[in-house]
Amino acid sequence: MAARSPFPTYLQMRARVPLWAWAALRVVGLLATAALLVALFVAPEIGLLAFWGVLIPALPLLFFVAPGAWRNACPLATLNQTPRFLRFTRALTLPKWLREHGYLVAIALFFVIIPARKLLFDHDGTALAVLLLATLAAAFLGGVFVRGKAGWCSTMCPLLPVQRLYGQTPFVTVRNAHCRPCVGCVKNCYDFNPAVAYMADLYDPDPHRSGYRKLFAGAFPGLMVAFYTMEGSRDLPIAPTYLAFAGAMLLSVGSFYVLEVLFRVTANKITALYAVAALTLFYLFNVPLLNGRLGAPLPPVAIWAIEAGILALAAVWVVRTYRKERPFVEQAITPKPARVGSPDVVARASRGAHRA
Amino acid sequence: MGTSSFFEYPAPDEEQPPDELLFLSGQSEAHWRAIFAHAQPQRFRAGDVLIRRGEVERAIYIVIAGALEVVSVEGGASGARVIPVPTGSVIGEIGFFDARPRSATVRAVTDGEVRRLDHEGYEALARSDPALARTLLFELGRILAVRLRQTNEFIRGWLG
Repeated sequence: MAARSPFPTYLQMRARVPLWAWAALRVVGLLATAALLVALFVAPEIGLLAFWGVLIPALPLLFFVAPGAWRNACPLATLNQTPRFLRFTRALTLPKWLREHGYLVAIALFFVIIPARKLLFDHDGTALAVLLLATLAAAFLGGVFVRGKAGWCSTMCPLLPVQRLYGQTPFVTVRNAHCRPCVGCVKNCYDFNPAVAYMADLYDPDPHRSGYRKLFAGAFPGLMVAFYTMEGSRDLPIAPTYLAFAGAMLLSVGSFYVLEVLFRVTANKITALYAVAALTLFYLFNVPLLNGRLGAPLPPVAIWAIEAGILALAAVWVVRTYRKERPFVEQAITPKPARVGSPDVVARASRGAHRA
Repeated sequence: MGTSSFFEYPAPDEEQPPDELLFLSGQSEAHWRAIFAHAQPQRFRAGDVLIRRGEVERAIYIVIAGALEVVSVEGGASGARVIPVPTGSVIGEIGFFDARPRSATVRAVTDGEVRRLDHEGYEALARSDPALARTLLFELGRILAVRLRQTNEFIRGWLG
């Protein structure tokens, strides 16, 4: 029996959840999305609360603990994979430049949409519904034209940078339930090998690939601080709002690169710290906000207990992320066997030599 | 080596780099027969151990049929690492050159056959066909040089 690798691919993992359960969950996800869209149009207060007050606060923790569960059930991914499932995808290969720089598109979309929450999407149900519809359409069209998940989920989805940053060391590894078979649509695919995809990006010989990941990780805590220290209003001026966000993110990125210069540690160690900084900042601000929306708010000691729990989870995550670097490097520098050019010729020669 | 070992799936053609680890790719069936005249055939069954970590032997193995795996067990938290060795693979080249203890165990995943070329067999090949022996030696050296270069590049990128 083959010995177990410390970093099994999804093909080597046991499926704990049957495929039909994921299919059912996806249907529920699509129905919930439809209900959300209706609510955003006809009862925007409810829709906005459900989206920004319930779903979005839950997602980072889900990405942190079991990102594969979201990747399997996400409504965007469901729509993206529908053309393949119904066999009408054109399954084209994404152009090389988009395969290499699609992550930058995802980052740009994320950094444009988040500040726009302050200006528009936090207050306007119709605007948010239109944004979500556009995103759903983009995900679907990506699946109509492009093979695998390269048309959206693994390249340009604005949630991808967050998923890959937070989801790099999942507490619960969930087997990919979409790609049957794998068509090799992207490099260092997260769904193929969740435990090492992010590190493989960080240590890729292409400096753009690693650079984009470091840029996002470095900017993310700054984005959190800017967002949660700024009041939202439809009357906010657009350019100064984006400038304020940009300033905070640049400071954050600058601190990242200062740490890189001052402390000669690997990129993995610094990006992990910035990931947990962003996560803990998110919940530091969000938990009291959510508590304020409850009919019977929890006492302060309960809030502190929740925050402490998230901090403890983050600390364990950092240790696990640091620990896996050594076996990752050991496997990465282990040489693959050389191969003969024509195994058939060699096999015939062996038979001939044997008979001789 | 490199991070591609974690993502063993087909990539778009233009992303496939030329395979620098092809061994004796231009050789004819006659040349291979000449090599195998000095390399012992060795059959194996699933589960057999062909190379044991710590053993000293100067031999390369060419996998004619079947599949093997290299099992490398390090101390500490790393756990076992497994590298597949499919049909057509060539293994053992480091020990062939430096005659030091093997760094990993190789065992059979399926039934199959290898051809084992040891140092004595290489010397016999060198006497009967010096040009072919020289080509084989240079090819083994080239592969080790490619691996060293790739390792250097990875470590440079890792340390930043």
